[in-house]
Amino acid sequence: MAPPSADMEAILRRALDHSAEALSGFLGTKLARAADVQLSRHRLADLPVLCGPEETPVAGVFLEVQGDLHGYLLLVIPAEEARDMESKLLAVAGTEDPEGTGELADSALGELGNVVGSAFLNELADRFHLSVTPSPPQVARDMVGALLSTLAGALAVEERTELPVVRTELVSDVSRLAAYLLWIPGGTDWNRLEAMA
Amino acid sequence: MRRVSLGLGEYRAGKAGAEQWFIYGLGSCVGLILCDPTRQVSAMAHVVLPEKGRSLSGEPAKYADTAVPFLLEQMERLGAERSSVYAQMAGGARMLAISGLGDIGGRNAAALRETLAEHGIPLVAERVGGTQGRTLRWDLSTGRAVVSRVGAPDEILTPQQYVYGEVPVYGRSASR
Repeated sequence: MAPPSADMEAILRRALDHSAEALSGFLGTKLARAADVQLSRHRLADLPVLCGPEETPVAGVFLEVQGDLHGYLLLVIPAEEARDMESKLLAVAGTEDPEGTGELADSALGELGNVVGSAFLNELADRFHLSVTPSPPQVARDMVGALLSTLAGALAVEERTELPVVRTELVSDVSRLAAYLLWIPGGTDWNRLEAMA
Repeated sequence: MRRVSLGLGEYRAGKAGAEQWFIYGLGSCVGLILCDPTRQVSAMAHVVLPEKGRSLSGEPAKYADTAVPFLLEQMERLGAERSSVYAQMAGGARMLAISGLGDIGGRNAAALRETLAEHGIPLVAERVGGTQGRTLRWDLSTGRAVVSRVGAPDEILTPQQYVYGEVPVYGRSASR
């Protein structure tokens, strides 16, 4: 797969910056992309290790992309840091969920993922004049490899053996939050967008 | 102890030795272990989908319907006797609801049960389904499988009577 064109890279960078800003606004913490946009092509078998060791406990927010684009968005946050985030979010909302594993915590995290994912997709939709809708967010707390291998199973059903992945790491300036945002475009989406960029 | 990790659609087959095989982070996939405990020959596969269908993929361990006969063939080459082989499996969770996918984990497990029955291989232990991911570990020195989950203690999957030390070894008396 050829590297993304300069135009496409700029668009993705802007979309990911929007996601970081959305997350910052939600948390009241300045967040930035730690690394530039990483667009890479991977074998399906490599997907489970893209966000670090497979057994790492994480909270993941999963969105299916529907409309003029397809594919999957996944926000991956280390489990402990996700609990800190949830506490902050619930405190802002004046609600308490001390265990951090209940319905409220899931709902807060799902909303956060929705805001971050929508910020990313909105930038793409605006830039390319597309209608794109994320599915309701799904929250899962588990090993990162289990989440990603389930996603790999879905891609295997589509008989995809290689896939483009857009990935960035979001890092806070005051805490040690290191979250990943992954976008796996639908089968022909990447080439379509590159042609339009 | 050598540690070997099996990725999506990968497999291993081997004789007893100082080795452990791992499948980390099983979500909807299923980790399948076949073992002939009397000859201490075993195989493991990381099964991703229930059926090969019309796929041109050359990865027999990736599909439930092709993984079982393929592993049996690999084990027979190493001296296993089909009549002594038993199976165990873990995984097949429903972690994410993905449109058009249904319960792929449940279908993987069901397809494996069916294929094992077709080949006359008893399934002696399983930890499948639910919504939690699992890691499956197979110890080739003891013939014991262990399942791990986040926030839960490790569980021994293999029934005690199938562990190597408990089974008479082919060609010599039981090593109790």
